[in-house]
Amino acid sequence: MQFTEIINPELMADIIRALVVIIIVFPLLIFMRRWLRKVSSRHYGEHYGMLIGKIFYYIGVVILLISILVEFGLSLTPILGVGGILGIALGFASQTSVSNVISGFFLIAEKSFEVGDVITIQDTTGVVYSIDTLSVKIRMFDNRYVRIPNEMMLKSQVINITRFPIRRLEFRISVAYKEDMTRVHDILVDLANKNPVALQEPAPLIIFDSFGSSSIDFAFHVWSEKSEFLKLRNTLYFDIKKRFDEEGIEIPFPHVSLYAGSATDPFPVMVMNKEEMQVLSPAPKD
Amino acid sequence: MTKQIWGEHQTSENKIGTIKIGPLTILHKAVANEVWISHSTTDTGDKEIIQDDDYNWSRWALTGDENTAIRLQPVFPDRPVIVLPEFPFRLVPGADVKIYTRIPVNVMITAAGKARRQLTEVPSVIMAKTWFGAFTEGEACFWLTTRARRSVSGEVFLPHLVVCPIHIKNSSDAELHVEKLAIRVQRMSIFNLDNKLWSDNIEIHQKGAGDHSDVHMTGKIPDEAKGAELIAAPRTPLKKSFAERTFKILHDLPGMGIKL
Repeated sequence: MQFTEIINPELMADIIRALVVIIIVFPLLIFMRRWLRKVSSRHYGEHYGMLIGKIFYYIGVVILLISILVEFGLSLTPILGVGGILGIALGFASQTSVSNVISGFFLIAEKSFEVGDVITIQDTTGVVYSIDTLSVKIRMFDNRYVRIPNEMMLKSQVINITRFPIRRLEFRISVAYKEDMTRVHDILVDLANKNPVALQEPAPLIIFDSFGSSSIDFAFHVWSEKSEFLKLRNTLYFDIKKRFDEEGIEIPFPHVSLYAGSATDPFPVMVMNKEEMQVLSPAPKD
Repeated sequence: MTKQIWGEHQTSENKIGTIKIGPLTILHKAVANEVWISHSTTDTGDKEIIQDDDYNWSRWALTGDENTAIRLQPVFPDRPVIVLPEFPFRLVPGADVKIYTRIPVNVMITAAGKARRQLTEVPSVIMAKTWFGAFTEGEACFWLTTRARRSVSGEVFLPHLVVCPIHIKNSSDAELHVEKLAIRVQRMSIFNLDNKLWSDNIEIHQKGAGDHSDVHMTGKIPDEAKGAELIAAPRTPLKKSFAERTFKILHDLPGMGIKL
């Protein structure tokens, strides 16, 4: 069969038409996706903007592909049949990828975190950089870039640190047994009231924790706006140490008494007269 | 005294000038076409300012047609203020009461030229912060413990404090516990009468539906300050009326801060 017989003018015309469609429609699709994402983000937030943009783009790509195939005169019925078989084969082959894509949509729809939130997943804490088709990208605080597959995000426990506008800081305060607990309580309340970052309401809370091995332990809970959480943590720890030093309140270190068996037996004491002493330890001869 | 505080102040070339507004001291000087400003809320008494290094200066280079004089204007803080009366009080059904509270101002510093370029804004008092609302949503506010006075006399007027008259009326069938008030200061104006600062009248009308009340910033000069001059317009344009959650009734409190 001659090459000219395969590439006949009609087929050439179809190819050109398909190329024209791709060249015009594909950039238009990308442009529309960006525009839609921008507009939706403005109205509904970055999170939904991303979701709407993605849905529009993938639907557009599928319609574009079908249009091109129809342009070549191919019937959709056998294509869908072959597509179904291929889909099953590809599905088995790319289970992980498909799972990640589907998980990505669930993550976006569930909205348990958004771009810009600070989250913790397993040992990783950082700012959500993007939620993409296959994975979530996180920028850690030391500026490392972490890629976590969507499937793992969906299966794991995710802690969203910045979801709510205020946060509670928990301090463990230990003081020596000799200290007056009421006085310690009043000093801690005063420190929280004087800290410019600590919120007056919800009110600071001091809870007796336990009689520890070396100290009396308190839990001291103070609230701040989420943006000032670290500032509160730094300032209040400094304030507590400084004030305790000023007030002479002891922050104890662990006290341990060691007993070494017979080594700690009482000293034997004998009552002796002078002669007996001389027998035991005679005077040195010159 | 306030006449010398609010308004224009000349800056001197390389010489530090000070303006005291209550506990706030504003320091200023001119260096060529620059204005240098610093501030301190620590009372320095009458100590003479000698060393530049003692202060953190902010500098603004102005355009050729602006002189280096500065203008001071009192403005309300940029967040609502939760006012906590020293002793909570109760209004029986049908009762009304007028109380006066004092709120510390922020000082807005602008270049005195025609453009009235804003340079900075400093608080006269560092107020504590608080949260007004639920754990999941609400509003960041300032916190002020004050004695709600039933009358005003000379000693309540200080250069950095605005006297706010609040009229509370209880039209509900139940006793009204006034434990704290959220005052939307961003919607209030400041007036000056004989060097005394006043806000516009606040009308609070408890109608009894839930904990909601009608809060109305009248925008009008209080009766006690007839003839006062408007010196600061509201930060947020005044609305004629709006219903807002203003009272925090005592029995609401136990939910806050106790959850572990």
